Formats: sequence, C-alpha cells, structure tokens
Amino acid sequence: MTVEELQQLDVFKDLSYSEAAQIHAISKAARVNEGESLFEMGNPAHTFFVILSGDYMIFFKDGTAFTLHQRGEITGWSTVVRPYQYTGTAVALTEGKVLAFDGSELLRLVQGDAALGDKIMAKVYANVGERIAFAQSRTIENESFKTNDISMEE
Amino acid sequence: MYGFEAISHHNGWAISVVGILIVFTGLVTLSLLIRVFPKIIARIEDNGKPNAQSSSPQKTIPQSKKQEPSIDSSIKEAVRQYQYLISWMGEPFSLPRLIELAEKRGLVRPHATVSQMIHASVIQPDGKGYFLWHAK
Repeated sequence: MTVEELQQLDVFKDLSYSEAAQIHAISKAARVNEGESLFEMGNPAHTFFVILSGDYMIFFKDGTAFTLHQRGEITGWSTVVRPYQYTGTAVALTEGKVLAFDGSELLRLVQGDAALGDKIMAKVYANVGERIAFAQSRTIENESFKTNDISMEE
Repeated sequence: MYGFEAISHHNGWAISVVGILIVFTGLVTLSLLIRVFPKIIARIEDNGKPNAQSSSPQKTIPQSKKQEPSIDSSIKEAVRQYQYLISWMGEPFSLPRLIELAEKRGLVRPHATVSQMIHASVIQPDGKGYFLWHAK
C-alpha cells in the first residue's frame, strides 16, 4: 500500500502527505484467514487495525456482536483508548486484508504530534462513537454483574 | 368354455379395464403427491408457521419474491440448516453463538456462510448487538 492509498482511507483522509507518510511507516498489511482472530477480549491492546477487505465480527462476553464490512473501517481502537485492553474479540468471517499498526508506535505518533494526534483521534471517535457507547454499556452491565456477585459473596 | 369366450362370459374385459383404471389412478395420485411433497415440507419449515402462511397466501408471495433474488443458490441449503439452528436458539439470537453451534454441528465454513447470509439480508442486526432472521 502506498502513502496515497493510505490517504484515501477514511480514518487518514485529513492527513497531509508527510503525516500520512509517518503513519505509513508504521503500518503493516496482513492477510487474514476465514475464522482467524485479530484480537481477543481481555488481552492487552497491542494492535490497531484498519480493514482493507473482508468481513469481520466483533463480539463480546455476553454474546452481543456487530460486523464490519467496509474498507477503511477500524477495529482494535482500545490500542489508543485507556485502559488499553481489548473489550471484545474480533474474528474474520471471510478471508481478507487488514492494515495493522503497532499500538505503542501509533500512540507515540499520536502523543508526539498534537496536530496528527487530533486528526486521528477525531476520526477514531467519529468512527467508533457508537461502538464506544455500546462497549461502555456492556462494561457497565458486566460491572453490575460483578458487583452483584461480590455482594452475594459478602 | 375356454379362452376369450370364457373371459367374455365372466366379464373379464370389464374387470381388466377397471383394474387398469384403478392402478393408473393410484399411480397418478401418488406421482402428484410426490411432486407437491417438497413444497409442503418447505412451507412447514418456513418459520415453522404453516397455518399463518396458508391463511394469508397473498402475503407469502411477496415475501418469497423478496428473498429469492438475494439468496445465492449455493447457500440455499445452508439457509435451511441455519434456519433450523436459529429456530432452536430463538430470536433475537447471538451471532457468535450461532457460529459456535454451526461449528459443533459440523456445518461447512460457518464464518463465511454467516457472512454471506448477512450480505443477503437473511440475517440482520437488531441494533442492540443481537441478530434477527430475515427482516421482521
């Protein structure tokens, strides 16, 4: 993938060529097989993914799920959002291709360059706003379950 | 009295004709039944609501027209298998649970099949993280 192609992806659309080049330098295109996991719930969030092709399902502990089908959609955003832990599991429904970013390198770029960080984070939040709310509602439900369990144990 | 004379005398020709008619009528009836049998089974399997459909035949036609173009012929059999699993799970259903069940049942390529069914709108999200069979 070239820098120009990277700039065509929605999440990086607002980046200048030099900013996109920095992002391009830390990106790795990877093939994903049908049924393969991109990441698993509860694990430290090390990798951020941008979908290039294929269909993916993100699911949570309680059995809820959503699917991703569009080029440029992102997943693994926990890499740049505290507590840097995946809240769900991502599985490829079909074989496809993703652009993978090392979380620590992406964070270094985002935190080191305020303008670049703002542009990327704005896109991340715009893209995943609904999913964050969805994940938070799941977390709240899970925490209330845990609280109930603890109070029952007490 | 022997031969044709004996046959005629004891109404043999008439009995033969009646016998032939009975056998042919039976065979035709049987073949017609066999012909409509798959349709009857399909109706019974379709959402498990044969009565609702038979009572409103006009509604059935547009529904099938909606589905037919979107369902690839290669996944038609899979659709039937997954419909059975979903009717067992109840709706709305969990997509990862459906895939897990399909894997346990040994269905071929459950991830890709589910993906195909989502693209064909056979499976649709309910907006709350669960999924529904067809548009309701």
